[in-house]
Amino acid sequence: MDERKELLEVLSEIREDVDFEDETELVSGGIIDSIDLTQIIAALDETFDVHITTGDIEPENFNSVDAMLELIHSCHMER
Amino acid sequence: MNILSFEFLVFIMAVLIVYYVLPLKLRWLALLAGSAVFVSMSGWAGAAHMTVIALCAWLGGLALSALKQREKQLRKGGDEGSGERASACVTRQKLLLAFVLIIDIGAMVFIKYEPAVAAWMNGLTKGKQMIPVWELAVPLGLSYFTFQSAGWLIDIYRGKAQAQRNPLKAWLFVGYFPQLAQGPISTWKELGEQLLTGHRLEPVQFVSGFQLMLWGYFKKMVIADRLAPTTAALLGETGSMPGWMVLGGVVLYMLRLYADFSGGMDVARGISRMLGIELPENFRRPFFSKSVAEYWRRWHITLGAWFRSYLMYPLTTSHAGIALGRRASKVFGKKTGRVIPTALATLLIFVLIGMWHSANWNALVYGAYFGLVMAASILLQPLWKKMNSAFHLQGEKAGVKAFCMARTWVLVLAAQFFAFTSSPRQGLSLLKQSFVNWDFSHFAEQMTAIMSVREWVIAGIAMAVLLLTDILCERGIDLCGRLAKAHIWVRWPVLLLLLMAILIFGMYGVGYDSTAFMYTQF
Repeated sequence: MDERKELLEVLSEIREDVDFEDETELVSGGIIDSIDLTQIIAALDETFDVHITTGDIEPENFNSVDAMLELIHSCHMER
Repeated sequence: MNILSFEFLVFIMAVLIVYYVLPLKLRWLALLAGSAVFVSMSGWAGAAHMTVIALCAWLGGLALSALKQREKQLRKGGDEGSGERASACVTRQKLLLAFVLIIDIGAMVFIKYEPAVAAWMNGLTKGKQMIPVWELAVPLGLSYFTFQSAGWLIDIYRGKAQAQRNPLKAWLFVGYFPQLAQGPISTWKELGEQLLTGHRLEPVQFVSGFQLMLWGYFKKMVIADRLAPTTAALLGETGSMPGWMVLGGVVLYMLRLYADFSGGMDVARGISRMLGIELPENFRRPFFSKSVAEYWRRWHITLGAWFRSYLMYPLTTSHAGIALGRRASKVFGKKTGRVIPTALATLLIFVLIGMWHSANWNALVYGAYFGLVMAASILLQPLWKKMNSAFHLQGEKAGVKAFCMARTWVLVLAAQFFAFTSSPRQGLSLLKQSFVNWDFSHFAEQMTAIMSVREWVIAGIAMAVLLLTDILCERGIDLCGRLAKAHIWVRWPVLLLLLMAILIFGMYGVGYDSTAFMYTQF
């Protein structure tokens, strides 16, 4: 499956009421909170086999689905 | 130095004059000198303690930075064995960070909890003095500067902040005077550079800071200090007091705490704004929260952010945390299993926040109560969603919002019974008392016995003004910004009115023992 689609599916499982496709201020705009964030990090680990470190937990890395995809790619590159 | 004293106002004026007279590049020295005077006037032992913590942050930060640099070079080099040496470098960073944090946080824990733990353990051995009780003086702002320096070190380790070569600059970040009394707890990113970069005098910003400072004094001196003796009288000797009085006392206690703590924050933020420095917000109208989780995102924001960033994220995103979530998912299903590590970390954090307040059983009950409420709200989220949907408690309708706010009030109010009582048993008994004997037959006499009619009227009007400004701010109106830019004939009458209110109705002067801020000496 396309990585973007897969990520969107994972995210909507966690918060079905959020429009992850278009939203660009998920963290900065207070749309997702720390509890959602920890679930997203666990889901990324499980689905994409990436370990997000505390240093990566910055609003700009989780503000949109594209930012999260970029984070996944950079984690894969660092391996 | 008491923030409510005349000498403090003279001190602030001196700092402002020196700050803006000095050349731009040297303005941080005015902050340093001001902080040094403020800290040393608050006690030499505390000043020495804070200096040791600042030295640890300075040296630890430099050593961490050097190790990080070395690790980077090794990873770039790509020679044989460089990977292993880089890993060894990471281990050294971890050990160093742990060592400095043990000194930093260990000193705070020892001062705050040793007397209570020693007394408790000696009590277990039937009065034999097995462990000495060290009643050390608590330095001003102990946990604020401890948390701030610990956060800075962790951020350096994470590569999110820089170390400082100049020890005086490190000292200034740890001991910046406006936030020593009650916080907020700032990160290096939020405050560090702002302190060291000289700021030009911006009239609108300066006036806005002055307004905020006045507003803070209004909250503290007109509301909080007026309610202080009343809440003490209401909650001190409850005896056969009717339930409504006990409950009213707890509500007033909560309002007093809000006016006191957020007032102190406004004074600190106002002074900083006059110096061109923007401190992070610590209160965002918490009583408008629609859930307990939201309440804690609006109450003492920087303390919550500190625990979230430096404890909750490391615990939940660690390999162990992720593995726990996976295992739990197999047993409880994906949705519930995945949030179990978060719920457990939240419970731990609230217990620690409770214990941060005081070294007694009540603080533990207070923290555990909020921890359990939060953990239940996380774990039972699907159930709450179904219930909210069944009872039509969704959406932005005014009635729904009011119900959710009232529910949050009840949950938060229940915790306050343990905040001021001396034992969990007393807290529970008071909670029980608030439900019985709702007899209003002597309402007028009972109310005037604890505070005169004049005082009730002043407190009522002042609290109505506070409520009105909070409602307007909640609706997105930037009152402070608007007033600072308003026409002089609008701005100055309002400021004079505020000043007159503080001077006429504020609690101060000869014969009045000014009440310290409730969150000082934490």
